[in-house]
Amino acid sequence: MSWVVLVLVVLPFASAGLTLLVGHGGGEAVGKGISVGVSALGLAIALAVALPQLGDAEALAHVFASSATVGPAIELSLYVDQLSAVLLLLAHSVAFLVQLYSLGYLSHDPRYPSYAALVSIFTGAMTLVVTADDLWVLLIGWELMGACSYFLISHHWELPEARAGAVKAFLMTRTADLGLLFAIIVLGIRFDSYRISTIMSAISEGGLARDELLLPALLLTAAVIGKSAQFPLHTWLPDAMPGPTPISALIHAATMVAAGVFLVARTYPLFLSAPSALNVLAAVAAVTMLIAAVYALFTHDLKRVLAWSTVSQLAYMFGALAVGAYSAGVLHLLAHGAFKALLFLAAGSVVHAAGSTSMTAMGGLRDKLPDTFITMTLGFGALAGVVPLVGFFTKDAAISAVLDAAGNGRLVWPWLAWVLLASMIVTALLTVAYSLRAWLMVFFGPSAVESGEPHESPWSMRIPLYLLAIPTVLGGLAVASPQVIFGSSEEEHLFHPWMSVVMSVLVVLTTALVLVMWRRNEGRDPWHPYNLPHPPVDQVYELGLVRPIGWMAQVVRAGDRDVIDAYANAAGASTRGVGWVLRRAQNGNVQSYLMVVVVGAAALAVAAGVMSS
Amino acid sequence: MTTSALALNGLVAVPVGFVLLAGLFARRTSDNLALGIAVLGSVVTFGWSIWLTLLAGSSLGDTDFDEAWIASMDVRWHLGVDGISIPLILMTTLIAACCLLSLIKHAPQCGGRVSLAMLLLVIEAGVLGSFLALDMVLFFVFFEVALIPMWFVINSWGDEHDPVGRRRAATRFLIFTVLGSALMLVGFMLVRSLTGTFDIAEIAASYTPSGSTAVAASLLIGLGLAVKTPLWPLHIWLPDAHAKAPTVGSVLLAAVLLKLGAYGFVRFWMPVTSVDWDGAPVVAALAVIGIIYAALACLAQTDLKRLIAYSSVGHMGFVILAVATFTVGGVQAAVYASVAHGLITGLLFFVAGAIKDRYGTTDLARIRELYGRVPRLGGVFAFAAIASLGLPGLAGFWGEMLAIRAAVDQSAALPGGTFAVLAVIAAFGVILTSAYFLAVMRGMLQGAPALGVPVQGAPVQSPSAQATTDVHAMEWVAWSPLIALTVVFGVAPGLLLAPVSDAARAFFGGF
Amino acid sequence: MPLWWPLLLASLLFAIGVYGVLVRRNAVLVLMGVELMLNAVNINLVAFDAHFRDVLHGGQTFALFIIVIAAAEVGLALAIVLMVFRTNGHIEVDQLRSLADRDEADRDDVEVAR
Repeated sequence: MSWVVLVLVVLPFASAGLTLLVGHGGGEAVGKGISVGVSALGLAIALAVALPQLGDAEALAHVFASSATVGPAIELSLYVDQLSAVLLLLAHSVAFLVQLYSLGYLSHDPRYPSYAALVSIFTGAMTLVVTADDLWVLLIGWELMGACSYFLISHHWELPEARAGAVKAFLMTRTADLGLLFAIIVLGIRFDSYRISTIMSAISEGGLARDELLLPALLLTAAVIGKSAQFPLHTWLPDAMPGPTPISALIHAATMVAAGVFLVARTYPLFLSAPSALNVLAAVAAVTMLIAAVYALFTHDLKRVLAWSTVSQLAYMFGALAVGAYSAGVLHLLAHGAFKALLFLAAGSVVHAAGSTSMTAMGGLRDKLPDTFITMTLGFGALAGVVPLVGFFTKDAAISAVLDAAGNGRLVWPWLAWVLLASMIVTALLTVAYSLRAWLMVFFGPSAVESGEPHESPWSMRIPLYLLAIPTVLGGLAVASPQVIFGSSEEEHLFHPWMSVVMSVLVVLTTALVLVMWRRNEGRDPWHPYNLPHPPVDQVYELGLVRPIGWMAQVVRAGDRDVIDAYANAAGASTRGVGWVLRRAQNGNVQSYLMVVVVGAAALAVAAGVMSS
Repeated sequence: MTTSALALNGLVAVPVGFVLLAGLFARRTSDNLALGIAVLGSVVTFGWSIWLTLLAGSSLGDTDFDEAWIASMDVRWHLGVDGISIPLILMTTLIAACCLLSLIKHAPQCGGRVSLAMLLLVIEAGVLGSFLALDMVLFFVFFEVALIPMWFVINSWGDEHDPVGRRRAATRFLIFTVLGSALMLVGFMLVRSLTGTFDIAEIAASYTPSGSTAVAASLLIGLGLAVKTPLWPLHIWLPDAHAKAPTVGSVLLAAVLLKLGAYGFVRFWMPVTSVDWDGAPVVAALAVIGIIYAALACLAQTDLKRLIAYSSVGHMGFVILAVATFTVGGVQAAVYASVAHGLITGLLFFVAGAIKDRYGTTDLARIRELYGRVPRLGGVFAFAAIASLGLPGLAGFWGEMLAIRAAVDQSAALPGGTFAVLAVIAAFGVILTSAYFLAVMRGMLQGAPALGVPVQGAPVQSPSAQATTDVHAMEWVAWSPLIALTVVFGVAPGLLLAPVSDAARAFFGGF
Repeated sequence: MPLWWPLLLASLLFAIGVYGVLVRRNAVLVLMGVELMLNAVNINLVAFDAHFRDVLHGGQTFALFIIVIAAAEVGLALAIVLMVFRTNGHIEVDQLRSLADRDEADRDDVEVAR
């Protein structure tokens, strides 16, 4: 069975190569067929691999190759447990749906083969990350995803925002990835192995002092903060929106940014043994979710709303994981993957119809885009946490877990847990507000669409929407019985019913408030004309990092030219100078030459006489 | 004559033989035939090196050729290979073959294609001899043989718009490296006076350096090799030389000649330097300064070839950092990073040369939107740039990562804290490397105005002009081995790591 | 006669010859100085030959060689002096500096004007 997992890893890369060769070689349609077909095949294999691994199954582990280095060996080893299984399913299904969706969305794009190939490579990299048992293999997949993200965001490289966004995303995540690199090195030195399963079981066995492994835990925290766009590295995700919408769905909603949450979940024993890192994570999550929700509330661009919303929801997952609620965190990850992908793809459909991503250029699209309307409503409902969609269950599970942690203070400091709880509740309400606002502005009110008559998207774009609506609606069942996924060791009760009731009441009140404000503004933006400035963190980076480095680069260049080069030139010049001085003696006057000869001979004779006596 | 003697001596003799043959034919018959012979020579040499690889074992004694040469000075013709030199030899012959293949379609504008090919073969013979030599004076001789023809290559076939500049670059390169190797020779003499032999295999196995003469010898040898590698601040010859050289000259210079310095550090400097020497952290610090300095310099460059040249300085910084850790892991990292850098930077210079052919300039301010005009060329450049910035999964990553790991985890005799700090700084150098490559890609491939560079001069060819030819078949032939090996070594590092660690343990003995 | 008489004479003549070569500006006078030096050496050789009663008369033989060479050399030298006079219009030795090792820029000390 383990070789099937290897096939699953290699298949997307092979598909990418084939797509590139065939697609750019002239067979456009064949290339598209290959990419979608192999993606479907990958999904089928993923189902075959993952479904048996759910529940109480034994984890699947195999070492394929090992390279002898000095120190612990670097191995190609794969490991599929429940966590890997669910993420495999998420990644491959969203990838397949995105490939299908792109057929319609980018149908006339001349660069389609490269695009499809990059999506395949990305899928392969994500598979590598979730099934890797060797930390270096995980790092390879991790950074490969970042590279694919860079290339895909700058797919429309004619747009300056796309170019800028791609560079920003890549640089920010790559800087944070240094944390992962050093964490791997430190863990390798400490445990003499790079195998995740070995290290985690060594930690779980006990015998470690509290916070003894704080350094690797903090380094990993830094890495996930970058990859999952948490404060203070949260600004790259909204700026990545100039990329094609299916990419935003795949990379920046469902998979790559979720990889940070996955990494924390995968190395959970490490974090549990160093709770101070969990405190940091909780604090970061608390701050991020609020900031992101506020930005989502005031932005006019539909995709940016969804991007900030992603940042905020990721913070929810980190919050849940920080207090020890493993299942709540992972289930919210899966749920969010489904409904956020749905929202992005539906947003693509809306953008396709309206010709712009700005919500002020939309409105009243309810009748023109019926399928999109239904599915996007379900998506927004799940995001806002409306009963009985999946978002309600996972969000309340997270909030309940934090409430428990505030009570017993086992991992996170109690006051921090209370802060996190308050943040989560306020964010939930803000989420309702911005989801409702977006929904109203897009589908209701007077139409402000400028370009022609908006029409519904082709079937290749609508089918994925409906397919994603299924887990959005039915996912609550999984949350109600998590042992189906995680096995019987997980706790049964995930949430407090009275908490859910309180939250529902608050949600209803917020909805009413927003509707009132919307009505008052004649069906346009409920809180026009407030505008938020760009995140100040960016200015800090610009002034503190980008400008000084640019200045230092100029100094170095001048230094090479004027200082170091000057030494080399001076060496040459001084040699010529000494030569010039010595050449003064060759003045052409024969008598002075002869004078030298005579005096020299006399001196030699005297010296010889003196020395021989 | 034993097989190993034939293989070892043949590896140096075959390129020289083909040079003579090509020279003979150049007089009598057509240019193309002579060039074909030269290309055939490089391919035969590549095949010969593969044969040598199959014969080689992990220790030097397995394939060995040791005869008296200059008996009065006790200099011997001692050739041998092990796991440290074999990867470098294979890379050298491959790169040389790619260079000569690329000359078939790409004739230099000033003519004399056959002479250029012959000079390249001579340089290759010199480099291969250096990698094979186990006698210090023999190493020095081959070192010089490899370097003097390069003056002619840069001076006569270099940048055709700037005759003064290319002479200056060539002369500066020559003077710097010859001065360095003269110092190195003095160092070799000092070592001889301390150990009584010129044979490095014996020295590595039995000699423990101590005392001020040993320190002086190690300093001199290190200085000579530091000019070649190069180590900051002796790097100043490199940007000019790489930028003014012709494409094949740049490729050979960056991919092969720089490795002579790195190999010299591993093979000739490490055995004569004491681990307890206070200067080892200084060498590592200089290497790390080089990494950061080169990355910053790249951010301010306006010429593509100069930028790639500075990136070479940065990459070699990682190699020296690994060497300065005095561990087997460090040697592994150094050899790996050398091979990876050779493949990737060779590819980068080939692409830069292709751009120069099509647009007549390598000025970054003027070349725009290559993704739109020559998408495959742009794609290859993007691949090479991503590989050079050390993306995991491609060859460049393992070299840098292993160097950082060796620095964090180094020999017990060295100050641990210093090396750990240096490793962290080197890691930030990786980020700066990413930044400048991304900036280049953004400007040159995608079309944004370059970072902080005023846009001077008209962009070459308005976008509506007819597209220049994209990558043609001969270029694919020359480049695909490099692309393929970059991916192969990225996913299968064990191919290189295992032979190097065996060889390092056998050679140094004391690890 | 005591040996030192001819030796003293020879030294004096040699010194006068050196003075003539190094100090006098006129080329003919320099040549005269050269002749004086050569003949001083002749006197020296003959004096030693006589003093040591050399059977082979090496000193005197060598003196004959010197006379011949001096004659040849002065013929050649006077021819050169004549050519120099025709080219430059004077034979002041200290003004004939065209063989100085100078870059084009600082050829100011050649052909010094008096």
